[in-house]
Amino acid sequence: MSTILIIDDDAQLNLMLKSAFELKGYTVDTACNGIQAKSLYQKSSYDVIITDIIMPEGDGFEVILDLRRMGMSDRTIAISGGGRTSAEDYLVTAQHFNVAAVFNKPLDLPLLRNKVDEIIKAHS
Amino acid sequence: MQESLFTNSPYIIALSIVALIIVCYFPIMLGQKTSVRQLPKSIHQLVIISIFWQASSLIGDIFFSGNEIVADTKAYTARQLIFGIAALGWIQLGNAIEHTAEISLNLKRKSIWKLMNMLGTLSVAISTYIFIADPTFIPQFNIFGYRPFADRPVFYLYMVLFCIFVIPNFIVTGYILLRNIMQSSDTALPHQVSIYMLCSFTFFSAIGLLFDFIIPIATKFNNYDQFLKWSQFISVFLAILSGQYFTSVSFKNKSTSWFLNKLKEKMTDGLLYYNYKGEIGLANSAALSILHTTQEVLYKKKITAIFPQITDPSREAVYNKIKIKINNEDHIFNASVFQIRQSLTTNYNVLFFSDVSNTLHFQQIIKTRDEQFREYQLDQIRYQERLNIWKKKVDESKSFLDTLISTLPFRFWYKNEQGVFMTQNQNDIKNRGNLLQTSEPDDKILPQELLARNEGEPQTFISYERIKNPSGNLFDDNVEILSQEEYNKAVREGKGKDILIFDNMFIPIIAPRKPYKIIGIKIDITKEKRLEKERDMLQEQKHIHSRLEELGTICGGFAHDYNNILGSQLGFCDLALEVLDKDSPAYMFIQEARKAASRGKVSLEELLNTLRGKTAATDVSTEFAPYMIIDDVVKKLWITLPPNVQVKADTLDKDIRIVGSAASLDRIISNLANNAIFAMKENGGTLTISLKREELKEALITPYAPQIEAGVYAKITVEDTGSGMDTATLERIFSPFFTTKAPGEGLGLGLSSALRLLKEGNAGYTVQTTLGEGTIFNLYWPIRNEKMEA
Repeated sequence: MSTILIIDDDAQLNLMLKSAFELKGYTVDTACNGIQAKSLYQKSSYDVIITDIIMPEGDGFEVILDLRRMGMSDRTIAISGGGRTSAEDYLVTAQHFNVAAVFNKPLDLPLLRNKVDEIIKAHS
Repeated sequence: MQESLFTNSPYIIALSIVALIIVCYFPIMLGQKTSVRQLPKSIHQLVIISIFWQASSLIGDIFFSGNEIVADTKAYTARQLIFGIAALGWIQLGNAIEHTAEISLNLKRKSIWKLMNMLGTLSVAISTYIFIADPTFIPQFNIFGYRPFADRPVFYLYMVLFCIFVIPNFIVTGYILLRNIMQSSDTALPHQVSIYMLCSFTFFSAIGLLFDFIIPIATKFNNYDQFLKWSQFISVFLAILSGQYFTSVSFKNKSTSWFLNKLKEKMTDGLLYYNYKGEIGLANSAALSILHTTQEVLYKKKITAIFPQITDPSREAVYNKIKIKINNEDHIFNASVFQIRQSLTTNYNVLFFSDVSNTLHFQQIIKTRDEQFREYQLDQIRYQERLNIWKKKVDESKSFLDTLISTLPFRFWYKNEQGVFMTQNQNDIKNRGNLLQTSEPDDKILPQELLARNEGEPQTFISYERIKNPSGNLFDDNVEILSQEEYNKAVREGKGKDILIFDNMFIPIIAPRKPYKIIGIKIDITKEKRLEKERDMLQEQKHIHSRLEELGTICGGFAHDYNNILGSQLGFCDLALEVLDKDSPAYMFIQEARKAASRGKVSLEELLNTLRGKTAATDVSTEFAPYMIIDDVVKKLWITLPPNVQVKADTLDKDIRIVGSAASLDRIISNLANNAIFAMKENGGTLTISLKREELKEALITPYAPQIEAGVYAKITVEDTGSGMDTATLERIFSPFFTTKAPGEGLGLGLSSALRLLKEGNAGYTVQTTLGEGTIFNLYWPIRNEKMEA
């Protein structure tokens, strides 16, 4: 059974993504910031980690860099809705850190599911 | 026996001859001293009498001597005639002498003496006649039985005549002389002469009387064979004496003594006459004025009372520098005492003195003046030297001024009160030619210049001038003066490039009277004005941009949140559609909800794009000099700069111009600079910003930064000496600090927004950092068309 960690400060989006992947039969954990997420991904290993970039405590870049040090860049997907600037800025930066994929908000659910499947398949 | 009237003694005859010679020579002798004509008649008379007397007596002595001549003979008659002739002479002697004395002393002649003289003459004539006609008549002459002339008739009769007609005159003459002596001052020369005259006169008269009358009578005419022989000789002396007396006394106004008196009065030195007792008799006017006194006060005063230093007034001596107090003033005198012997027995003393205090005083004054003169001469030399130094200084400052004026980088001229050019510098001559010593026509003189010249109000104004023919000269006739409105219009129409802007000044040199000289200055400020305008424009753009960005930021934040909300809603809708049966009536509702959310998403994106587009639109297509932006940033930094941090922006290439968003560049540099200052906050350091042109021959690839293509760039370097960054930090600098920094702290969106702006501007960057040493950011901003403004 594959496990997924979803990190976003928006609880509703967390719930939506958790529902979307649980419908597909994945085990899903959620965290509302980087610090909470860190305790989770240090405790147990996840097949895929989906993280937002702009968060109040422990932003997405910290998570991405942390995971990169753990050699898990290829299991990481960055999502961003952009803030005062366009989302692409952050995602371009994230791409520099060799994440597996980046997605703009609002998310295209089927594409995101396909990408998750693709990553899991690539590691199985 | 007849009485003898003439002697035959050869001695007497010889004596008579000598007397005759002397008396004949006497007038010649007098004439040598004075003109004979000046002598009075009485002197001539006296001489004639004497000659007459001597001559007749000589004849008598030679031919009719002895007592053998018998009466009533021819010899007797002749003898009596000769005797009478001689008597005619001597009978007038007394009268002549008295007359001489009166004339000498300016006395009035009394007519009684004339009468007496005539009577005497008559008496002699009658008596002579009687003796010839009747020789016995006189001896027989009987008065009451007594015959006075019986013994020696001629002697006694003529003695009587002598006593009647001659003696009174003699007595009166003596009296006149005595009176004159008593009345006149004893220092005057006539006085002395009168004394001698009187003495001699009396003496001779007495001798005559003694030997001619008293002795013959007393000896009873023992061997007496003559008559009036002594008086005859004495008459010679009396004539000479009288003449001498007259000349001495009556010519006093022309005499030495007169001259001496005049000289005494003219002298500036004092003269005091005093007698052997030391009593002052006479003082000249100089003496009186020197001693501040009068003749009356001095008279009979002791000389030693005035000059105490003169111990022996009768000794001739010289006294030098004796001090005398006169009216409480100290005076110094040089004095000499002389003794003047006036006659054998009389002398008087003269004190000759001069007040040398004046002389000393004048000598002192002359000495002082001399010293002053020398001082003045020295002063003159000093003044000349000072003048030379000043002249040199003036020349130096003049040449300095000339050089300064001629090389001033703007137009400078100087006009006098009449508006004539006195000075023009090279710049001015280049613009309107050499107009020195000429004045401009009235229609060419600006009203501002007239105000400055006539009212003394300094004038400053800006003028706009269009060069009509750019290839022609720069003279005023090739220039069109524009008003500010015309200039603004031309700028709006894009024709402002060939318009020059000048700052004009007319400065009056204020003097006591109008009109004034004026200095004119004309400075080309076209470049400054353009730069100012450009700066204003950039400022405005930045302002608009920052407003829009603020709005964009607010909307962006809102959109981010709303995007998430919409994302969740769309996601949930999708999940609902997945699990719902398509026939369920809720399926259609969910579908509609999803459509509505999609529409919301589209409209949100439209809003965001519009905002971003607007912001971007204000950014693009501005051409500007980046150094201005850097200057602005540095200025802003100064406000909040910590004291331990320094900012340097010295090497800025002002010629570089780039195309892009000035506002973006401002933001980027501000962000980088703020980060740098943040990094140096603890330990201090230096922030250096530089700008230069750099050409990349090939693409530049560096870690942590995208590749930069080959090309020409404006390279902006922001370098700090802060703590530097480790790799982790370096990786993190690109993350938006949005989440960690409170908005409004000045760091904004940090480097993340800078990155986006760089991308928009097509610019690249590199970053080098060393821990503990500092960080260098290089921005490469493309210079698209280098020749645009070159």
